[in-house]
Amino acid sequence: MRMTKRMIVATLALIGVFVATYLTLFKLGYIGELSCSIGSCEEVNTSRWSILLGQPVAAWGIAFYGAVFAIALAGVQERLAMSRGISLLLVAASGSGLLVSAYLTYLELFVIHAICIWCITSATIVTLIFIASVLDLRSLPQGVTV
Amino acid sequence: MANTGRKGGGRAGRGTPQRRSSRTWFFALLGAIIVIGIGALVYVTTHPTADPAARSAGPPLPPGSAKGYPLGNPQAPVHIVEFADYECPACANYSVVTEPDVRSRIVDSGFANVTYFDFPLPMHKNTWWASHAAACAADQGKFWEMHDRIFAGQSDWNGLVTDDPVPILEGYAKGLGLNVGTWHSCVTNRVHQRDIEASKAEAERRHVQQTPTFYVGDRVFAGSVPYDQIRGAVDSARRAVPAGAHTP
Repeated sequence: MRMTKRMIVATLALIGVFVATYLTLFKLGYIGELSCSIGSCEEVNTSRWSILLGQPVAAWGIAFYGAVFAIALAGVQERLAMSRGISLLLVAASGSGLLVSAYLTYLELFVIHAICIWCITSATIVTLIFIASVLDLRSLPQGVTV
Repeated sequence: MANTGRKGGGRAGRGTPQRRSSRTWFFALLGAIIVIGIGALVYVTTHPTADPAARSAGPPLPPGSAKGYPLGNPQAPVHIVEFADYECPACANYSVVTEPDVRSRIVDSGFANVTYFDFPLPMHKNTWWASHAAACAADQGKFWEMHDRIFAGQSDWNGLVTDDPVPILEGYAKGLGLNVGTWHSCVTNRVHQRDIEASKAEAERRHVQQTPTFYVGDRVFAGSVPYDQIRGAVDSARRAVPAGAHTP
């Protein structure tokens, strides 16, 4: 099997949905302790930066990954396979996600002084999604604007 | 056919058998991720620790300063200790789903008594108010009624839905027939702050790592454990207790 860049993005985003869901379930109390062999997951996920606009940051992560997954999945459909709009959306969404992720990683390293392996996993996924999205955009034939 | 990356030709061959095969594998992969992901999430939410029943409470500790809230016959052969946080969904789930059975079939039957300890977690901003609300209800002899009401209404006053839970908790106090003026003064003056802190310290002294956590005899259970598991541990502890004695 050879996967297109968008298939890779969709696959990574789906994994991201589950990682974010796991962290959200912890934040909401459904999971008593995070499986965290490296770092201090609970210190990060109970800090005041783990809530954004009244919702757990991880819940926003579910929305983000869900949106990227939906866009990439739409882009896998044959009639949208050449759509430059899909590629641009993916680059814009994953670029935004990358910036937020970079900020959260900065908070972990320099403010909270604790690393959450699941957050780093999420940051890695976002980075890979961004790289795949940029490669997807670059691989489109010039002049395609749909 | 997958994207080859060649400009102008990378996405040629739409609908070819090779591309269809690639899409089939892709959707199979997504399906596998969904199944594994959901399975893993269900597992971690229903099995909070690898084997809670197998965890030993360790050597007995000398009594701490926290008193907790007792329920049942003090002379019951088995003692159940619960550490919980009013804003923790798993604790509310236990309170609403499992605890009625534990009370009617274990506590009321005289097989065990229960002591509840507050363990307010740092990520729950309204849980301290709930602990105060219950403690102040205890002053008027209605701790367990308030305890049940707080857990049942968790979705109405938790920190994600309101920054000011006291009016909602006051509604519960009214509904339970408490002297609301006395109760309100008790809550807003945080009369039981030290008691709650002592309960929290007791949880930390025992290295409680999550809520709810239950000590049943020499066993520790973490998470919203089902009735059968508690009943099994109580029966096991009863068998281990010599006739006429009771666990500390």
